[in-house]
Amino acid sequence: MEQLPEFTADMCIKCNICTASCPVAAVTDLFPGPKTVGPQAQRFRKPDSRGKGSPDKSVDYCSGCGVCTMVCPHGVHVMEMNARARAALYDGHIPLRNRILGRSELLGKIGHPVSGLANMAMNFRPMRILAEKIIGIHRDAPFPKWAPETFRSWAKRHISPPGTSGKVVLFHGCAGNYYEPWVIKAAVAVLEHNGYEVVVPQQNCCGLPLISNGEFDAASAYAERNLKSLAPYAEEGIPIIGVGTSCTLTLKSDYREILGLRTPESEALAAATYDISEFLLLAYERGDLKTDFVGFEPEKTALYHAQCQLRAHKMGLPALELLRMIPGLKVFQSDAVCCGIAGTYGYKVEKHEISMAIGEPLFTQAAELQPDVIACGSETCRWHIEANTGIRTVHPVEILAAAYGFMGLGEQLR
Amino acid sequence: MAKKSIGTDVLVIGGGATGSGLALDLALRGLRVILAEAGGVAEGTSGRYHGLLHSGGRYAVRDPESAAECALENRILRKIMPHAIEDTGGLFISLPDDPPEYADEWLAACHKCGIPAEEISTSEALRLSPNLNRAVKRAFWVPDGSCDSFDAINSLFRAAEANGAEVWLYSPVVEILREGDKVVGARVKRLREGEEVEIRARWVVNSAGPWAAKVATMAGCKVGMKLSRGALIAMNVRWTHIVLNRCRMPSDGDILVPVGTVSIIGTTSVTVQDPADTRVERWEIEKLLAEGDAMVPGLAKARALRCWAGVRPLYEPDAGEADGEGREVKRTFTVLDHEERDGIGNFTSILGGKFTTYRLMAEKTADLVCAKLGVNTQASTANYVLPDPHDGIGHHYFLGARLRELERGPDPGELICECEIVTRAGIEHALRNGSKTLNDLRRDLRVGMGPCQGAFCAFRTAAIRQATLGITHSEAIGDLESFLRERWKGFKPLLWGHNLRQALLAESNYRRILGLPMPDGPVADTAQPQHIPQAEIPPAPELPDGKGKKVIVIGMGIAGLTAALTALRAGAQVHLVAGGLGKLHISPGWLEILDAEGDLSDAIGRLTSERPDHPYALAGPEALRDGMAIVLEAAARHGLEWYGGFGQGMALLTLAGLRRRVALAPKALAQSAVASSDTLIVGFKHSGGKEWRDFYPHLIAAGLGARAVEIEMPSPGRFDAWPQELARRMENPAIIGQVAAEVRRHLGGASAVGFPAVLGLYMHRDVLARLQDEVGVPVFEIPTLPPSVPGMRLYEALRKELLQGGAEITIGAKVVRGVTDGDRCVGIAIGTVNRERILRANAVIMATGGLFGGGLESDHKGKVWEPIFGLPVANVMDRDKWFGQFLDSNGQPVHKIGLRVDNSMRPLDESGGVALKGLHLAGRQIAGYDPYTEGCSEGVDIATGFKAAVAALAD
Repeated sequence: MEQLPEFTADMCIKCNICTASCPVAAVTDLFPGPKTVGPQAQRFRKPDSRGKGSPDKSVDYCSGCGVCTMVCPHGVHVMEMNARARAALYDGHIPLRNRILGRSELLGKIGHPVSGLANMAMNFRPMRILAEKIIGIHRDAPFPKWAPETFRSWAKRHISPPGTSGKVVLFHGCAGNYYEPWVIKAAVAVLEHNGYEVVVPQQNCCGLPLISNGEFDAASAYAERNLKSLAPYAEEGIPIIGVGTSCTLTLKSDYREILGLRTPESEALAAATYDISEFLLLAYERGDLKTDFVGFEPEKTALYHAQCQLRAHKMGLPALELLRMIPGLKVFQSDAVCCGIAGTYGYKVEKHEISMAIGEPLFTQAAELQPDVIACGSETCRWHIEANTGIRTVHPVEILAAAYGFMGLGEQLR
Repeated sequence: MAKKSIGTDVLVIGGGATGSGLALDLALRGLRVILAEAGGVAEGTSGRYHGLLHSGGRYAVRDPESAAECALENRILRKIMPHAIEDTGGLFISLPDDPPEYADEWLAACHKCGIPAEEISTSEALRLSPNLNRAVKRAFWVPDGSCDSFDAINSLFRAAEANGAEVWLYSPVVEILREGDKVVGARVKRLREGEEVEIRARWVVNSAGPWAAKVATMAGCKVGMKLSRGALIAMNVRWTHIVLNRCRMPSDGDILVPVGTVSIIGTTSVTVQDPADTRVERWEIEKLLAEGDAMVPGLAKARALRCWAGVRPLYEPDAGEADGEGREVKRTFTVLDHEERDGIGNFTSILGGKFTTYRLMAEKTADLVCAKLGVNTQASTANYVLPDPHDGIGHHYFLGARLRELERGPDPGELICECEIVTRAGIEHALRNGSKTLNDLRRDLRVGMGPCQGAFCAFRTAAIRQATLGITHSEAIGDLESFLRERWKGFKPLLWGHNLRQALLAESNYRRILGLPMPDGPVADTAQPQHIPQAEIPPAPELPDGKGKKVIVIGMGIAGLTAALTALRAGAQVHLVAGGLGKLHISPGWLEILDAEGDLSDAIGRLTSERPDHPYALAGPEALRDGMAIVLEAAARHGLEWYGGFGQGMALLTLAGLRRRVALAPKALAQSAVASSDTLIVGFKHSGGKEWRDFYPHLIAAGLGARAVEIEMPSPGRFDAWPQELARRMENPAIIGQVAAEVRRHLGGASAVGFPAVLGLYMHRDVLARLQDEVGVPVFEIPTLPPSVPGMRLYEALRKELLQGGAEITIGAKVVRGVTDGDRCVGIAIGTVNRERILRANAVIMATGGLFGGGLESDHKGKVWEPIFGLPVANVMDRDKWFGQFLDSNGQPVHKIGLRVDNSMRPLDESGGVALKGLHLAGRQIAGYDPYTEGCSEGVDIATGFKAAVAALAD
């Protein structure tokens, strides 16, 4: 049978491997652990027990990092089950704070025209303290800066040359558009260098921040718009390449698994979506990736952090394999399971301390190693890691772009 | 036995739904009533049904009289026992195989019987029950419900007692007293009180269900009955939230009822002679699952939690003449006036019927009795709202209620049975109010009834029972063992797939972490303190040159980790892929090599010559030593100091205060070998509360004859702390200081101090050294139930070693198939979230575990297969023979099932040739040994893991 995540509770044998691996349960007793709020509580939930009827408030302390699903040897979709239970918990009564954090795209849009002012406001301490008091966003949580020009307006000017390797669609995500357009530009440069023509059709936020904040209806509306715009490309066999690993996971899996959108369009989109590193590694394996790296001289070091959302793709660590091909780059692996930010989790005032405790092993490792850069494929993780280590934290594709010689390591591509 | 005599108006024999309903009915009419029930609450047919509150639809076509009765009573019961009923609603569904003309006939019959059946669209049916077969042709809604008979009968007892009736449980009737042709009473044995009572009654009613013919015979009447046994299976989750019925002539396996946290599929119909014949046969299980699968596709592959059978007490006036199957006998009921029928006065039997119509049956019987006794009152039970035995709290039918209480109520105390949400307070309350054994607690609180099958809660409850009742260690552990053995009988017919994994986890917990079964002699004899030397790590082995080779290892258990480390040391490029984590998190964290007297190396030598197919014989004793060299050295680099060796095994202390023989262990665990009656066992408690639920120092101390103390936990948690959470908190020097100070206050003359194994996770060595230093005597740890911190430490050490050595680790990716080139394995395909990814390698090592780990799969038909390469599985016996009794000293035959390998760990086919080149196997999936009774779990994993890697690189 085509199973909703809830029904995978059937396979839980209570071995507690998820509990043992959960980064949240290890640092707080406000969260009774993924097994407890997941498959165990699931036996006591009914489909109509939404909102006030849903008994288990503690599920809100799940960060959604997905380590539980990853380590479960028995196939229980613990995180997905918990995400759905969390949505039932709110059932439309979403706090303003969650509504704001869920709308990264809207925030981007609002802030962009007045980016200078907005950036100043976000860095203005009294303003952040006020925001913490009134809406519960922690004063130290890392907010990015609005970029003066969005990726999309750059892309309007930019003409991608017709490729020798075919056409690809680029899914830039909200962060890539409003805050870090240089990351997406690096992706464009790497793809074009390898002979791909890059198209940037109309697109929305993937909807993940809304999913994490319990707004399934709004997330589904975003999903429907993305499906409408992107599915035709997917059906034509044009790969959809995402730069944010969390965005691509949403396109690949969450629309179907968590939002329950199981249509031919969502199947087509899921099948055509690639994480950029995954796409490049597959090209390498076919012999289609250019390895004309200029590399780094003298040798540089990078600490690679495989974030939770990347692991949830269950595809291994393609970025690591790519980085290891680069001459003059020594790559270390982070042995932390999660940096702690988990999307918007660490932004919330009651969870900030938990988030910092989760990230502590990674910050310690970085402090001991002092690499030239830290590499990580998800934006909020990068902001959180950079804010807490003081070490320049970049997307792996930026390192590839630097290795091809488009800019220096750690620099922003113009 | 003491004898006494008492008088009453009516004696009711049998306290099922009908008997207890009758006792209430008569009491409400002002009669004095004694109800004598031979067993406990709902032990007969009333407690052995599918929990369905019939709408009547099932009987509409063939038995309209029963159908109409059901329709009427359904409405009444909803009114008088709302606390016992969940208004699920029901569907009758026509599937493609069902006769299409039946549906219309059925609908017309329903309307004739007054059943408000209503056709709905199939899409609406799928919305109401999303797992329903999508091929459904037609669907009809009916007012079915589900009803907890245990709660219903309990409330009937309460109500009857509140109205002056006496309810006697465990009180079998041994003789029916007659004077001439009149029944005048009965002699009743009161088992719990140890007395025999003569009851003189003006009237006696036989409502003994399937035992009614026997009771009638005691009174000298012959009653013809057809006993029809029906099997039921409780599926682990609610596959439907609305009752599902097949719209066809009633047959086997065509009802699926959501009851509480489970869904129950039933039934079969087998004619039996003995009312106590409640066997469930293998064909019945397969039949029910196959039929259930037709309604909810996939059900046959889902987890079946427990099975049981009930015996329908059908009345058959001319027994022996008609030989219809049980379902053809009418389901309505009959009140027999034995004076009219047999010339025996003052005696009535009530036969047939069903749970849903119990009240009507009671009313009709009471009408007859009252008429005979000249009592002129009417029945009032249809308007008498029954008391809720739970007083509205913790009720099972409102699924979320227990959970809500736990999370939103005042601090409920420790959660002991996690599956059924039973707290310590609840258990202590029950123990102070009549529950004596673990089995009583199960019946009263549902402890141990959930999916984990008592793998965690039975031990916790046994320890609480020991403390609350103040009983001895051996009495507490003895009751635990007999409880587990008894429960096991109920699971055994259903052990395949995930339920089998669950059973193997229970076995691992009870054998390895707790050290069960109890030794035959006194426990203290096995507790002689022992001096343990620090281990000598064997010299690093010579390895083939792996440079330039890519090796894929599948599996993150200790076998896979050993293989990966070995390949990495040899210079190969290693990619470790695992569908999930391996067994280390649920292991005690020590290394078992062999449970044998004397020198272990000698014992292994004897074993390998006696059993040439044993994995030790195939891998060779050097592989064990060399593999150990790699694992011990790697773990030592991350802070684990090893003790023991290949000489005499160590007898290490377990959570149950027993001993387990272990070859090598990290220092903190190994030091428990010195435990004796001079030892102090230290546990943690909540501030102002009771012991931490995962460690019971008094039980362990009772086993050792030592002292125990509880100190306040370094965690002020809202919820129960997990072991790793305590371990992380213990890494704080201030907390170590506080704990040490408390321990010193209680130290007395103790020569060593034992703690739960939570002395640090990432900084264990420092925590141990500091604590030992501050306490002033040796400190040791006792492993807890999963998650096991010592197991996690070993896992973390080996994982870090691999990452630092440059290995790539992919967890969560299921390997969907092997990639072959001719007769050679050249890689694997993993299932990423949206597509297959091919990983190529020079060699593949498979260490995916056995029936527990998922390296082998099994189904209800007893088929066992290896899912990645489809390798042939050896030693597969008939499924009925997979398990003996729980904790059987001969071990469980199921462990011998596995894959055959040669002495290079290459898989073999049936004829003994190499099944696939380029592939090597390691660990639990290898055939021919029992890790638990042989005590060789880690030894075999490490020996075969090493050998597989060496052979793979040399290949």
